[in-house]
This record gives sequence, C-alpha cells and structure tokens, in this order.
Amino acid sequence: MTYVAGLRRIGDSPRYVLTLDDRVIEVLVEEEPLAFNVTIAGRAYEVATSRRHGARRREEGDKFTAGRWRLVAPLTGVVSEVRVAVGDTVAEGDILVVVEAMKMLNELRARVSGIADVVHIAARDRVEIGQTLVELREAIAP
Amino acid sequence: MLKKVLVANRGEIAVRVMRACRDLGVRSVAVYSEPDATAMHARYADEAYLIGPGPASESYLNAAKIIETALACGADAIHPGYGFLSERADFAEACADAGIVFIGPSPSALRALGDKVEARRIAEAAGAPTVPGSGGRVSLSEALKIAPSVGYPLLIKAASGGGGKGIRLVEKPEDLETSLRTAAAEALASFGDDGLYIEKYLDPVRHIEVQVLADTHGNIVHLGERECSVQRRSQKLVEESPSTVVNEATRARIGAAAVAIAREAGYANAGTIEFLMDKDGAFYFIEANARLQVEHPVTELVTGYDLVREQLRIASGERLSFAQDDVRLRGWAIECRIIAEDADFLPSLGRIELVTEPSGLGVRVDSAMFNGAEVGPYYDSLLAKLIVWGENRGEALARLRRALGEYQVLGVKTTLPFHRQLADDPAFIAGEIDTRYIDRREKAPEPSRSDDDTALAVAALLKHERRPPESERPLSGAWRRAAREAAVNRSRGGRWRDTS
Repeated sequence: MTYVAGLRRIGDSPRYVLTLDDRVIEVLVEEEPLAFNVTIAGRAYEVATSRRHGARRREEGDKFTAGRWRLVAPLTGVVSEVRVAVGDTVAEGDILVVVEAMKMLNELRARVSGIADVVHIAARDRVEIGQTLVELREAIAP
Repeated sequence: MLKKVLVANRGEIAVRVMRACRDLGVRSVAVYSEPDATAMHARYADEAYLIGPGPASESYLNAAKIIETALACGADAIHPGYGFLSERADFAEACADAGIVFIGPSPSALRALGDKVEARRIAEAAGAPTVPGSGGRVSLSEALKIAPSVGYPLLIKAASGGGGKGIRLVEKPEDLETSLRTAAAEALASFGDDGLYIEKYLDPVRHIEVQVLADTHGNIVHLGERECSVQRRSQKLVEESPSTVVNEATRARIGAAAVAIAREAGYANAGTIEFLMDKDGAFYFIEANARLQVEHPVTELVTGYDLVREQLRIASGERLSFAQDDVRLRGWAIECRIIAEDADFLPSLGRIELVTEPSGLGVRVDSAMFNGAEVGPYYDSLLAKLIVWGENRGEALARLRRALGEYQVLGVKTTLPFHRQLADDPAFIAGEIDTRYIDRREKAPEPSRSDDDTALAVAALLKHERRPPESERPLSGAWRRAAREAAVNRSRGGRWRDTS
C-alpha cells in the first residue's frame, strides 16, 4: 500500500489535519523533547523519537534498578509530612510522604520493600511533578 | 431588584452567576487574585478588582477585603458561589453589618446547618431519618471508644467539612487511629477546624439530594432530586436528575422531608438537602448544603428554572413566582465534572494548550477554560461542567457520548477519559450505581490501537519536517523512509509495520 500523506497545521495551534489520500483526520499534537503526544479521536498516543527515551521510562517501575528505587512526585504540591528517615526499613505499601495539593492530602507509598537511603525533602517543601523525593536501596538478606 | 452584584468566587461558577446577572440586567463585579488577572471571570464581569495574591486565604477567602471592595464599587449584594466564603456565617453577618445583601441564607441558618451535629438535630426535629453514628463531635480517644458500637466500615467526617473534603472511610479497626489523625490534619488544613465525628458507613448506598428554594416569606418548594452516587474520595464526578431509583411516590416523600428540614432551619434562598438511600429505598439525611451547588444545572435543565436568577430574586425580597404544583420535571439531565486530574485522580497542573468545547442541541457547558489558561495549585481543580439533556435517559446518554467525543483538552490531564469510559459502561447505562462505583470499576483498559499507524504517520511527518533544511524533499513520497530514519519507537509496544 502506498499513501499520499500530508500534514497541515491550523494556525499556530496544536491542531493539525492529516490527509491520507482522500481521508481527512484531525489530530492534536503536543511536542516534547523526545516524543510527540498525538491525540486522535480522543485517544492519546505517545510516539517516542529516540530509544534513549524509551529506556529511561522503563526505570520508573515497581522494581529496583541497579539496587535502587526512587519515589518520584506524581504531582506538584507541598510536602505536609515525611514519614520516613534515612536508614528506616520500609515495607511495600508503606506511606513515605504526604503531599498536599489543591487541599487534598495525597499519600505516596513505597512500591517496593527496602531501606531508606536518601530523603531529599522535608515538611513544607514545595515539590514539582517528577522530582525525586525518597530513594530506597535493596535490603540484602543476611 | 438588586442593581449590582459582586461575585466572590472564580472559575466556572463565577461566570455562571454573572451570566444570570446579565440576563436580568444586573451589573456584575468580579474580584480576582494576582494569578487570575487573565481569568475568564475577571474578563467577563462588567467591573473587576484585584483583591490579593494567589493563595485563597489572601484573596478569595479575605472577607474584609471583599466587603471593602463591594462598598467601594457600590455593589448592593455579594454572591458567594460555592466553596470559599459561601457557607461562612461570619461572612454573611459581616455583609449584613456593612449593609450589603448576602445572596444566600441567613447567618443563623448557615451557622446551624454548617454544624453537622446541629444539622442532624434539625433534621430529627423535622421528622427526617438520620444515619447511625456518634451524633456529635468526638475527640480521638472518644472516637476510638465508640467506634465498636457504630461498627465497621465507618466514616470519619470533618465537623466543618463539605464538598467531600475531610471524609475518610475506615474498613478495619486497626486503621482507625491513623485515619483519624490524617482526617484531623486534612480538616485543619481545609477548614481551620480539626473537629471530627463518626458515622456508620452504609454499603451499597446511593447519594440522593434534593434541591430546595425558599423565599423570605415562608414559601418553600423542592425541585426534585439529583442522583450523585458516582464519587471518588467522596467527591462527586457525575450527577443526574432525575434518579433511576426515585419514582413519583418516593420523590414526594423525600421532597417533603427536604422542605420540612429547610423550614425547621429557617432557611431562605437556594439550598440542597443531602440524603443517603439504601438498596431498599430507605433514605437518611446526611447534611445540608446552604449554597448553590456545583451540580445545580441538571436541576435547571429538567425544571426549566434558572436557579441563580431565583437566588437573586429571593435575595431582593421577592416571593417565589411558582408553587410546588407548578414544578414539573421534563426529560433527563446528566452532568460530568471536567476536573484537572489524571487517570489516578491526582491533580494535573499546567497550561491549557487547546480547548474545544462541545455544543449543539441539548448540550450545555459551564466552563472557565480557554486556550492559554493556567491551571495552578491554589484552587479547586474543577475546570468545567458538561451538562446534557434528553427526553429520556437513553437520549441523554447518547448525547453525552456525542458531546464527550467533541470535547478536546490539551495541556493538562482531565477526567474526560474517565467520563468516556463511564458513558460506555453497561452498569452505568443500566443505572446500577452506588457510591462505591468507582472503587469497584476496572481500571480503564489500554485504548484500542486502531489509530496507532495514524499516530506514527503524524509523528514521522513532523519529525521529517523538523529535519535540517538540506533535506528538503517532497513529503508525500518520502514519509515512510522518514519514519525509519526517525527511529520511531512505540511507547505502548508493538512495532512499525511495513505497509508496502
């Protein structure tokens, strides 16, 4: 199959019209440093444009990477409580940090069991989405 | 009739109130915080005045500054909207002292209904059933003591709470103490009062509320019920009127109970009496919201009354222009709250890069969104409300799906994907909902990949376009090659399929 494809931007908005032969498809595009977020018919597709980007994303899972797990702020807000100190043994599901955003207290939990290695924040700190708050290291069985 | 109304609020509700003012030929005044200088409500109003920096405590909650502004610009009334100062008896009192009409109930009614314990006493005096519980504020140690007799699961509620904030569900005795501490901290942060009470948690249960209108001459009517069972963290997400489980006989009974409670409280203006309804159709009073509610438009669409206009008339001292027998419900209305939250219901902040709102017959959008609007951390994350109407629930649902399909928001994550999933959910379509609907629901499945290749084509074309100028080749023949050169990865798995 061969298509004749064209892409036209509407003004300087994130709205584009993709033509594939005679088909007209409205798409919305948000550009990020290493990816395009493309929305078609209400569904979002993230298209990464480099392998490095994809590799980085896989780190943010529920597993230790290189013996280390990071609690990353899922939202922007103010730390209202830090329930973990360096050296504490933490079980999966424990509340590590409580972040207040829009008057709601959001309890951020450990997704792995481990030992608190670094605590980057203190109560009343303002945190940005994506910021590392706490780092856990893998507990090595004796 | 009032001549000039200051709206002590922001966002969609401020705009909605100003629209009613304009319909009535009443001048509207906005107050705004520094980050809201470009906000829609500040631009829509006939006049707008800066009242302080971003944090609500220094702007939209600054009662003295707001009253001073109203006096300075010659406003004869203040409409508080919902949230912020809307249920603060001391604010209503300060308005009265300054000779300004507070568009809402009297300070004494606000005080009585704002205290959940007193509200419960009023309901009991009016002969309405109430939910088993502590019956009053309890300290941490008292709560621990009486919890076993109330039974699990139970709810911890902030004595000064509202809008679902400061409510915690406790399923097991061992979680009680931690939950009490978190609830107290949240109550203190949100309402400046860490008082709590506990209540039996009924499950499954529906949240059914009744809209009432009361004038200052003793006339009280109800405008039917709203079904608000689709909630997360006790905050409503979807509301409809009427309810699939309320027939005419039940409506007459629950409506009469709501009117009796409003009368017992000496209520005037628009208000909502909230009930829980169990699976057998028995209902229990839970609280009264002494203000205009977020979900008031569904009532407007099925009754035809403009609730804000009625509020302004009542505040002007006019009598209700209709009686209970004149109130007729026609058709079905459903509202979806469009909130800046991601799929896990966590706040999503940022700039709205693009918004396209639906329209057409039977579709109403109450919104303060616009291209370039900043969604910041200071205020409630409600961006807009989509309200649809149909002759029956099926027609309303079809319209809802159509309108949700038209709705586009880029830049912040919203609850739109949740609503699209809900509108297609067989349980919701069948009206099988209760307050645990969201807890029970399956996490949204991965979207179908039907447009994967289209998305790839777009990205490839854009990547190609962004290449250095020496590679100026016609796009049409080269897009597939460009795609390869761009080393496109798929974040959702799968791989590039050669279409040749």
